[in-house]
Amino acid sequence: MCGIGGLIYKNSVHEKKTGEIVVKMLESLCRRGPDSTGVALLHPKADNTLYIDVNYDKAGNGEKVINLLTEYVTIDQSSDHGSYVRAIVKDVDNEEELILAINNIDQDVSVASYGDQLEVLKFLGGAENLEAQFKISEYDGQVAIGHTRMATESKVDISHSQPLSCHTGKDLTIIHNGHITNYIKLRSKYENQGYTFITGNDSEVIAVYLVDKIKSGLNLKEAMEMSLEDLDGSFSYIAITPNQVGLAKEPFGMKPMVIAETDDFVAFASESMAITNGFGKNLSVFEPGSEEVMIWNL
Amino acid sequence: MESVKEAVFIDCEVTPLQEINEQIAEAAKQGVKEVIIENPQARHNLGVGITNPINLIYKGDVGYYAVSLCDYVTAKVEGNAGWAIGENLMHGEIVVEGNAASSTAASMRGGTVVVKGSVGARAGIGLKGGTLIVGGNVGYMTGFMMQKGKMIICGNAGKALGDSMYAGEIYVAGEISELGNGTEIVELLDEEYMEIKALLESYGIKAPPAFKKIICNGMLHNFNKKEFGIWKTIL
Amino acid sequence: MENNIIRKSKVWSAEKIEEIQEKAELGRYRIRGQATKRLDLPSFDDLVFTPAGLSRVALEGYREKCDTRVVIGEGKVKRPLVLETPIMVAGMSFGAINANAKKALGIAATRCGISTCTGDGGMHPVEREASEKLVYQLLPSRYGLNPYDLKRADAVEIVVSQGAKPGTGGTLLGQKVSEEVANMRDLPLGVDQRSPCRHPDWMGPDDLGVKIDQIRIATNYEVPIFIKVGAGRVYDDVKLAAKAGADAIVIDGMEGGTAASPEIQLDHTGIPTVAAVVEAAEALHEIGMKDEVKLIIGGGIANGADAAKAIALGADVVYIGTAMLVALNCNKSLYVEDYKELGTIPSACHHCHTGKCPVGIATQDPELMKRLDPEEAADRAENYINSITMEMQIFARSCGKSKVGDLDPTDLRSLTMNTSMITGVPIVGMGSRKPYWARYEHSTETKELVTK
Repeated sequence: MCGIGGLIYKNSVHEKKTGEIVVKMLESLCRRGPDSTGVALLHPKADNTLYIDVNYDKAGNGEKVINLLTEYVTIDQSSDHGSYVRAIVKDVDNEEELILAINNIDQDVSVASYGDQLEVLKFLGGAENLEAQFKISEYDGQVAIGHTRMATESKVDISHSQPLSCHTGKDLTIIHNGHITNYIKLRSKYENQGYTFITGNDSEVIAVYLVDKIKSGLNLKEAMEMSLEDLDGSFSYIAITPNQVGLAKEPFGMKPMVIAETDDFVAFASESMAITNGFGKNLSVFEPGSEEVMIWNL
Repeated sequence: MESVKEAVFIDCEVTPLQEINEQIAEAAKQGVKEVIIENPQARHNLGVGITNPINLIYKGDVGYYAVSLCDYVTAKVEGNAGWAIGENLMHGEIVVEGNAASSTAASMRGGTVVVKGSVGARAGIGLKGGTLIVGGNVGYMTGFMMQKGKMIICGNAGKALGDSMYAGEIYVAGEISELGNGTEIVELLDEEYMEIKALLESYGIKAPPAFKKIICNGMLHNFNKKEFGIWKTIL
Repeated sequence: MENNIIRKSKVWSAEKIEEIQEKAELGRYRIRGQATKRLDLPSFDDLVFTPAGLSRVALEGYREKCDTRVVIGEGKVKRPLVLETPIMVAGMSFGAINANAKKALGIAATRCGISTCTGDGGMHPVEREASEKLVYQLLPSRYGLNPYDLKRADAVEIVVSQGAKPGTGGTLLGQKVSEEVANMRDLPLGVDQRSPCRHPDWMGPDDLGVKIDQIRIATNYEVPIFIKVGAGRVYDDVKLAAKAGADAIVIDGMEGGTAASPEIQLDHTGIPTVAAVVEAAEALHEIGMKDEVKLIIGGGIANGADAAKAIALGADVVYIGTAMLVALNCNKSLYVEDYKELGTIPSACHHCHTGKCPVGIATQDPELMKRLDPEEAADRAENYINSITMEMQIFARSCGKSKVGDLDPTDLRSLTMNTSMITGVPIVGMGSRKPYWARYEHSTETKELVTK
């Protein structure tokens, strides 16, 4: 139902810009996911900086978001993309308060992601739309991982597009291919525990699950390994934090993922064609087995 | 080898319920003669499921289910008891110095329960054996669906006395508000009275001069019989 | 006179007429066994599964795993009850059925890794030996209750009422009170036994909490404690049972079986199992205890479809009683003459209350008992349990679930309006959508009418 394409550079040897490669990967994955495209970018650590991205639907709400930001924080950069607000801000007194305030602006307004280093950008349609809005190809940082969406059971709109984060999870975002079939059970359990879900998309529960497990003391690898037991259905998913990138594949190996790894980078994609397209040449790829979790430290 | 203690003391004020019961059970298992339970403060479930011989002395009031589901236990409550004291007792003896609440000796199977004061409703409900002695009055539905055993009541009895009893005997010295369904009063033989008197006196209770004896009259025994007159009153 | 057409009446049907005339003879209500014979009840048959297609991926029927294990009391008691498949044999008393039947069920349950239940008659040694996991019922009657059996139980089920006749107690007619039954229950021989409808020593949910504490102490905090209620005011009862401290709640729907009950009650008390399960699950969700407290649902469960649908609607385990007896031989076409003598035929027999069970299950008569060989019968029961497990797995896998317990209400659709309203499951077709032409027509949409 979706396409995943991403790249992690291990050192400063970038044969091409990270963003450039990932956009090309996502372009070739459009057939797998024509409904929307999104990407998670990792920025280097900087003091007093918060990346914040907000979904909205109704015309005029983008303006309201930017106005609210002006009230609460110092805006470094901000842009309104018609259904998405991208902002880089400083001097945040109370993150929780800020997130709550933004979500309260209107029913269709919700914070898509916030982080000290992670930024999520998404748009409807194919990779070329995403590129036109955000100039992803100019990004040359360490990690860029993207997603092309084919909606299976939930709405086609920006808020339901991936990458997805947990409402109370900073600097953690996930990208999922597949369908979590025990979504209802898990969502009701987490809602009882106080977590808020902002979409009807089953992928969102993966982010909540990981945030919850990490809160209880597990590290990312342990949480992802446990998820292989606790999540039912088909999935390959990637979890990104400022320090690690993890990949998990369920026991039945139903959703594809190939990996190309060299001394300089790790690239992965749902189809090897995406890797070829991204790099402009054939690379040696392998497909990890099922019921596996792989972690790369950044 | 450490000699077995004569007595163990438990202070309920500072001991959680699970531990109180565990300590009593352990003492009984070890063959300790007596456990003195201080400051019971009418808590529930003091002394549940003890199946080894032991003597329990409660220094105060107890709540629900004291000395319940026990076997071979003797106990004395120096105060009042809540609901269902002696519930399902199999062998043993319990004496309550004060009053007891409802469902006293519910489903008791054997042994003796003595309440020197009065009790609430449903005393001896579903009695399956043993003897219940009440020095004072008993309330509503005493001996309901009694199957075996004996009840000796020195005071008055409330309504529906012995209703639907299958077998067994109830002796009442005072006023009976109302007999339950399926019961009748029969003659009390002299020997029976002497036995009752001796039993009461052994517990320091003065025996009243006379008792009425109530037993099952067999009229509820078979549905198939077409005794519509009886069924009209039951249904 | 015109044509001699025989016109049957619905109001004065042959059944109604016979009922009235029998009562004119008896002077009381009719008593019989089995379960309600109403033909008009909503049931699980009105629901269908919507398996994976493109939006979800199905799992391979023979190769890919499908977990069926359920644990009750995990993290709460020292010895949780582990069931290898989400089925338990429901409580049927020794008295209602005999030792051969108890032994057969015990052997089958042990082989399948599930439990049996004592029923309203005390713990019979034959059952304790044959059954590796035995649930001990604590009922208003307290027949056979003693602390030793409590300590030997693998779970304790406090019974408030049963589905066939919620609000009343058990019945065992004199002809089935044999010497052994009379001894176990401390009753006179051959006398009609009526159990009380309330427990003798607790009268409401407030006292129940204290009673549960007592049972926990008596069982050394080792085993899970269930509360069983016949399906009536399910929503309220489930909340109260959960708050009182139960580890699992059993709800028995109106299709639940019995060995002897007033017939008028079978047909007119309680609510159908398909309705009870959704109420119960909703109640637990509302108080946030759905994961903590397990839900066991029974009442007319006959096959893997019923079981899987009950689980999809929120049950964790299904209780099966009558169907187990049918697997043993109940209503089988054997000894047909004896069925005739009772006034019935195989497939329509409900005469458990007579004590003359033609296949030797619901009787204490030693001659009739010879007709049920425990070992052979155990094989039949085991086969039946395994077949249900396989059926449940078919549904789970086809819906893309690797655990039967992951089935949920969104995997179902309803074929009828009635059951859709009862369960909240959308009706098939346009049940959850508005068609494109709805705005062209001026007639009010059915859904709008219904919501009003």
